[in-house]
Amino acid sequence: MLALNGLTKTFGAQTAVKELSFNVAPGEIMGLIGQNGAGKTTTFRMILNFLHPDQGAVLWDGRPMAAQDRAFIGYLPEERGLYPKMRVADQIVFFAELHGLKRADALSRLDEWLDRFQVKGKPSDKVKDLSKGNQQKVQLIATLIHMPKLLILDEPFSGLDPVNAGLLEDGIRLLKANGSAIIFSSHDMSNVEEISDHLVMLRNGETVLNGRVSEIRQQFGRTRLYLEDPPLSRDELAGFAGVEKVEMQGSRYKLTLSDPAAGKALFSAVTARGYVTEFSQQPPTLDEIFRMKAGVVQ
Amino acid sequence: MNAIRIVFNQVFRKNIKSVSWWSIVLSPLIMGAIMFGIVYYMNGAVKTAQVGVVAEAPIQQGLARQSSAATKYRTYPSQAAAEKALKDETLDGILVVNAKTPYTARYLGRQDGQSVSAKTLTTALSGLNTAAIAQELHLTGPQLTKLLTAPKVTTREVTFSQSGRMQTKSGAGSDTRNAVATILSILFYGFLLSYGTMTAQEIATEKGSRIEEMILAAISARSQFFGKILGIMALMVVQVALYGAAIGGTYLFARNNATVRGVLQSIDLSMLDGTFIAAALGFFIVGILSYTVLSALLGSLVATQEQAGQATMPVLMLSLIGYLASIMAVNGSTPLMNVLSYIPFLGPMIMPSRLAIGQVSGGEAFLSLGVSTAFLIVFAWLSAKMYETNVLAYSDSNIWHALRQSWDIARSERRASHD
Repeated sequence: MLALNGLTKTFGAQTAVKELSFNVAPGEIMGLIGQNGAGKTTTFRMILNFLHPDQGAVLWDGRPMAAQDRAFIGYLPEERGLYPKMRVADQIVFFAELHGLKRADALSRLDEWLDRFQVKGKPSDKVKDLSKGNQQKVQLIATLIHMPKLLILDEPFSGLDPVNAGLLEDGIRLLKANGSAIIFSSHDMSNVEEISDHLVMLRNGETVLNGRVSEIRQQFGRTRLYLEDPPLSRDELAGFAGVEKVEMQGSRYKLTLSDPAAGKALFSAVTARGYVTEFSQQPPTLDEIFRMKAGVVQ
Repeated sequence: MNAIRIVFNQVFRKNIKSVSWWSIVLSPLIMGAIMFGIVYYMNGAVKTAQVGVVAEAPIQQGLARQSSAATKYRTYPSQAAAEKALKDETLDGILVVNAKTPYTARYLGRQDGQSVSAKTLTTALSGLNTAAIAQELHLTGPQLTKLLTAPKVTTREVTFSQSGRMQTKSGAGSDTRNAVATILSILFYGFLLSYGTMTAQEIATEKGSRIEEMILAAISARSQFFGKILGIMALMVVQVALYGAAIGGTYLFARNNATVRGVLQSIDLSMLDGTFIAAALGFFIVGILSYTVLSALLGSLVATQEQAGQATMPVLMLSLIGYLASIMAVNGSTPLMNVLSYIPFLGPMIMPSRLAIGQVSGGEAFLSLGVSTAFLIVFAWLSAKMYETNVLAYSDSNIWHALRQSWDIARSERRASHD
């Protein structure tokens, strides 16, 4: 299990990360979110032992990360790149060997992984001859082929189309099922919500959210109400006590409530006038929570 | 150790399969082969010049005896007969000699024939002319020999040992020494430019494309740094071995060729003793390693692959100083040259040339080599340390800004490790 205990890192007068703590258990996926400069990359670099915390410790199975052979880690950096003139197979085998896999083992797994990510190209092709999307897949394979026990993905979904994003999600789930502890950062909250068990949000190095995704959403209360074809007008809805805002989203209304309890009165009023296609009272989406939390500093 | 081996293998295999490395290796060989071919063709293409001699019999016989592969002297009884042969292109020129001492002669060369220089003809006639004058003056053979004997000057270079004892240096003439010094300078400069640029490019590509971070997630920066340096060194060893094989092969193939034999006989290799070879090899290894480490260090400061040129510039400037100094060394020893010879990066370029031309003793050369080796050990250790933080610093403006950033990270890391 990965454990970050009270990590603080400063560069001169600037505090990049302050008293950050979280655990990622085997088979668990953690989303690390935050605006640019929030401290995500510094956190990754401390986990990877590129940087050392001023205070606190990074532990793997209870032992300091700095004292361990790091072959069990898989890391995909935010900006993508490979050796353009190297062949696909040589490239993947090189990274697999760095992570402790034998050359023959890496070669025997290669075809299976190229199929899994539907790479359009042969192992003997040079990387520069592949499309950008396929190059990204090759880099992902280079990160995953040794089945890391700890997988760190920095913005893995950026630049991927929905089909390839789906393939990546499948790859991440495969490692989760295999017992890997996974951390990833993303600006796309739908990805975070979909695959994370747990999330941490950083703002200026400070932890502003930390917990399971469903629990975090519930903390904000069911203050969003979605109504489709309600038998009430927009003005009537806006006039209810506890309704802060009414917006049209396609064919439905989205009501922002100041008090979740207002939902009951609204339900009675709406259903009293007959059939309603949709009445859904939910907590704010992760995207809304992200904006709210980020907005505090704006 | 395993990580160093994997990085070493990757650097070596990737480059040995690359067109760019083979072009570094083959371009000097191709250039050499072309130059050799041109000289060989030109030597083969030149036919023997046919010179018709119209003169008295003793002169004709004297010149005929001096016929060589370059010039053949044929005797003609009259100028008309010679002119006919000239017109028929049997002759390339006619030499008409007036036997009155001192000889005067007129040469008529066919415009489209093989050219014969006036110097060749003058040299050929001067011996005959001297003999004719000696006969007129009734000089005996020994008297003539004595008259013609030039004063003999023997030159020897000397050095002074620590105790002040004068020692006479034996061995090669200054032409060979200067040639060896110049060849060493060019070889050194060529190798360090090729491998310095390759190292900086290699690391700049990895850092600019963030491959570096993927590698460092698995292994230490130090393992990667030394694996890369060793991989590049291995490529250089292969290149030197290929050149050795090419030279050996050419020798075996062309050793019976008269021109090649002549060239080899003209080279005095007595100066290439054990001390010189050991020192030159030591300087070569230490020098190239120093520049490779410097290139790796600077390459690790770039943020994008496009900045790789910025990384190689300091290497180019520093090596240019060393190269120019090594070329100028043949002009004589100066206090500045004495100082530069002991400065790391410059010493390995300057000292072999100075040793080759006998400007410094073996002891001085090994002292300079010791300084450079000690520096290299400290420099490589420091560079590996700086490399760890350099690879985390990204600056879009320039590498000096990245260096400042790297320094800040290093300071923060030092503080973190002391807490």
